[in-house]
Amino acid sequence: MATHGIRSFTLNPYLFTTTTNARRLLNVGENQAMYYVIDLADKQCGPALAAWMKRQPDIQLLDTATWSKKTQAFWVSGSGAGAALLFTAILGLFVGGVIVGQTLYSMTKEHLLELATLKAVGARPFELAGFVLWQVAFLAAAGVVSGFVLALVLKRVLENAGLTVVVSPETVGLSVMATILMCAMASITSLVAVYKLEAATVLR
Amino acid sequence: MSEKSILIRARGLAKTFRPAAIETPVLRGISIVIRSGELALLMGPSGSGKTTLLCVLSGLLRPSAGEVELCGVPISRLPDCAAAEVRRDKVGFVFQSYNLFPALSALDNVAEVLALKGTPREQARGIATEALARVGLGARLGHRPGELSGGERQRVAIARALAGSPALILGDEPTAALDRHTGMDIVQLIKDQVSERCGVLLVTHDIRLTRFADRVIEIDDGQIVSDGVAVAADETGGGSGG
Ligand SMILES: Nc1ncnc2c1ncn2[C@@H]1O[C@H](COP(=O)(O)OP(=O)(O)OP(=O)(O)O)[C@@H](O)[C@H]1O
Ligand SMILES: [Mg+2]
Repeated sequence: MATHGIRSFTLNPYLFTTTTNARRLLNVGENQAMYYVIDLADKQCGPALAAWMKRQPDIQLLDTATWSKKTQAFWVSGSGAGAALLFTAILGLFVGGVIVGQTLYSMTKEHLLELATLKAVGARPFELAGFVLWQVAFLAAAGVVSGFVLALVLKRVLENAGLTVVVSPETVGLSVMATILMCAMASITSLVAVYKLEAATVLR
Repeated sequence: MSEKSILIRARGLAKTFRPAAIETPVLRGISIVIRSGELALLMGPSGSGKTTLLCVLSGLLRPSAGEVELCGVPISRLPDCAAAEVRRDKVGFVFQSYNLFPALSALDNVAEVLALKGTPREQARGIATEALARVGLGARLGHRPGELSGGERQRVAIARALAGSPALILGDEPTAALDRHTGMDIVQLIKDQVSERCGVLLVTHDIRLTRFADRVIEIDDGQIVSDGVAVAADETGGGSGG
């Protein structure tokens, strides 16, 4: 049977084929099988067939939804793939946090004299913090927007290569929240620098 | 008779910096009163403590001993936040290196600081326009500091300092970065602000500025060595000290 567009890594791909072919490819005996996909020509036979199969001690009957869940669980937590992706994401957040922190800190440093001047002429601490928060909000927005553009382009490219990437609202929400959290953490050093800034330095 | 109010009253000021183990006494028992209606110059050799005194008087630094009252408020005893508020309402600063915001136009440089005081935007821009016109920059409202000469920048800074109608104008060597002629113009502008409700204290090395002064206070080694009516300096004699 011809297949196309199958992508996989670390493990064998799914291959929908005849039983004989499958046995030959997997090198398993006549009395061995991992699973069969049953597509009934006459849906009416379904319940009867299911009842019969449930009586068999060594057969497990799974409907599409359960099968899908089991497969997802296998890939996400059973194989190394889920852990690898999670690790990559955490590493990305960490590296992103350091870069945002550094960028923000150098932006703040650049404007230290102006901030000190503002402090000298009587700006309140939260007004100075506002400067940092505007910058970080800008960085966060730029990060979220460019991240999504990249994700959508990748999604399109991978789709053309036969891989479906699901960008669910939950994923979007989670990554926006993670970005905001990361930016907030990254702004701490700058906020401390602004808070500790000695206004007397403007007269030096 | 005009009522001159006391803007600064400082008693027994001492300031010691403590970097590591070495104690550096910079101010040693300074008592001083500055009133509205006068332009006072604070002079003295380099390192004598002029800048430090200005910082302590304006609440930018806390004295190690002694007390400062700024417009009747004991600013040296207030937390930083509250001291900042007193400065915002009562003090206009003019700095040696202007300290303008490079990204903002002359107009916004002045208006921003007014906005800090809670003046509504539109009104702030109106007052800023007026203040800039008063210092002769009516035609430069949209220029950024980078597009202005040193003298013009210092005029913007003066407009910024006086736009909020401060009771006290403080300056640390506001003419040091300017040529003599421009420097004189700048001090004249500051002098013009002196009124029954406003006094000025300027730190300077330039002996020629004494002709604008009502009073010259000299400090050396953290102590006041003389305080009196200014004697106009000889125009032709010597340059600025050091
Ligand atoms: N933050 C600080 N830490 C330690 N020492 C300081 C500090 N600030 C100033 N000093 C010392 O205090 C002394 C007086 O400094 P200040 O800047 O007040 O002098 P000044 O009279 O303004 O001098 P100049 O005319 O050169 O500006 C100097 O010896 C300086 O080294
Ligand atoms: Mg100084």
